[in-house]
Amino acid sequence: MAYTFQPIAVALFLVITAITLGISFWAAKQVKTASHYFVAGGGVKWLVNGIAFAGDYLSAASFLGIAGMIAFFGFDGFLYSIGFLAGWIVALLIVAEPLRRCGKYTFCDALLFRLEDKGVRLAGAVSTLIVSLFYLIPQIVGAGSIVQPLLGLSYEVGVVLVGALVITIVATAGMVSTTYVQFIKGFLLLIAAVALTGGVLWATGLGPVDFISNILDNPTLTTPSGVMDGNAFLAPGIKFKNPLDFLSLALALILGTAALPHVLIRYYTVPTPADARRSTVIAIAAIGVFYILTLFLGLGAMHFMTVDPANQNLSAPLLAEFIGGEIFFGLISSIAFATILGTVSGLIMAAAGAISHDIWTVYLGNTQDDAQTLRMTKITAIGVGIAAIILGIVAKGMNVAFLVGLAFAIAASANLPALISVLFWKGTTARGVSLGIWTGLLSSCGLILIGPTIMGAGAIFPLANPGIVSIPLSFIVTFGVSMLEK
Amino acid sequence: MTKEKPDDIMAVPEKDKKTFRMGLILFTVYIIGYFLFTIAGTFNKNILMTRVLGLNVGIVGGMLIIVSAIIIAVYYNWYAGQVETGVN
Repeated sequence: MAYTFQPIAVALFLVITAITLGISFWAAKQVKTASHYFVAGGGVKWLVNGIAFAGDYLSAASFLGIAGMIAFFGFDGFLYSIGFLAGWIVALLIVAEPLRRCGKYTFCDALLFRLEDKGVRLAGAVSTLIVSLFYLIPQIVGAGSIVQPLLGLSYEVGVVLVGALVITIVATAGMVSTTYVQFIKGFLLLIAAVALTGGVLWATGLGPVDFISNILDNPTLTTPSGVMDGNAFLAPGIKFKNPLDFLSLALALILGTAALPHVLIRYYTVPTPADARRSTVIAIAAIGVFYILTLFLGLGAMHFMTVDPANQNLSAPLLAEFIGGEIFFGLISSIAFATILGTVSGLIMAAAGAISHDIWTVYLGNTQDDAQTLRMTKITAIGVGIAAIILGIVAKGMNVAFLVGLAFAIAASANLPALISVLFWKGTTARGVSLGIWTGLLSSCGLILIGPTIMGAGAIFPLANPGIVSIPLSFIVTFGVSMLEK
Repeated sequence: MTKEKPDDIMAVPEKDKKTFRMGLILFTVYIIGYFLFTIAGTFNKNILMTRVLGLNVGIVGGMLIIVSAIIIAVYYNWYAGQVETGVN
């Protein structure tokens, strides 16, 4: 599709991006110590943190990727909405409070609250870095996709632009800035989704149930994937031809959330375990409402054919343009862009913390004062940001929700078995934890490499998502090795 | 080199144990529902294509999973609050 320069949309984009940067520079003045930088001094209010959780989580994958996935693949796209939210139940009921009780800055600190072991710290830090990078790629891809129709710039320029902005944010203010950016953005995103859903129903003149019923009743439904029966479009099997892919993805999504480093780090920004729980509840409510609305965004894009065949990620912004013209398009795209800025900032924070705090300071034994730690972290953040820009350019054209699904599988495989065993089982040993992390990390990444995502039709491993193999394998190694050692 | 910390580092206050038990019950109920839904989608998708309330079981079931997560979260938070204040 050819896109033209739209002055009003660009003006809105510049205003919203300037506000985001303004908050960042304001927050920079509050950063005095490493604690302020990593976890905002642990003093964030639970309501703010809850919406910031939602802001972190409702990333490019949720807004751009899922809407596109539903527009192109119907129910198989909606499975992402269901699974992304279900994962929060594991986070709330199993992980939130115990984790808040034991940690300090990073996922590794949680793992080490009972076992002081360098091998565990190294494994946890590498895992944090890999998961964060895998999660960063789709955000950057989303940013590049948005900039194309919004500013008329090439995908690659868009990727470099978002990379530069995020590096500026992270290298200045850290978690304080990220929290407030995500808080504001979380609200804006919810309002945008409600407005867009209202617009879809208004444009069709149907109620929510009738709108979906009409699609189900259409035996010759025209979709971006071809003409098909409406009932088949809203049933599994359009994207996931192998049924086990459906199961594997469902497993990765429900177990991945509670193991994402940039989600886990947010539990330390509130004062108490009870605040961690309350903020999770706020997040679940906000995210749940949003995911129900994604069904209407995706089906609306399919219904009005506001899709770019070369880029599924643009379905929601193009739907906004169809419903509300240039202003609505500019608003929705700018909010999506701010979403990406905030999420990428959080991810780079988590990755930078793993390298500077866990590997450089603790594992390699480089003793530093607070100022040196901060400087090292900011340098690391710049390095991670540059790596993300390069990977984002390589991953051009891929659906961002699909890519995030892979990050969930890696997180669930590498981090969750270790976290569960350390938090709840006294028999856990350091070797069990570190071998479990390495097993989950290597098996999930290895299966992705030999799977259809990378190898296409000649794939050795038949499933696009490795979770069904790598998650149980990591649990078996973590608990098996620990039992053998005891 | 591994340095194990004393077992009492894992000691959890009685109130928290009570809350956690409730969390486990709710988690078990939710996870059973989620996996029944997933198994149906994996091995017998005709179930999800069955029409109900003008929609199909897949859409209704998916919505229910999302809405029940919100209800469980709100209930759990209320319960934990009651335990913390000593009402329960």
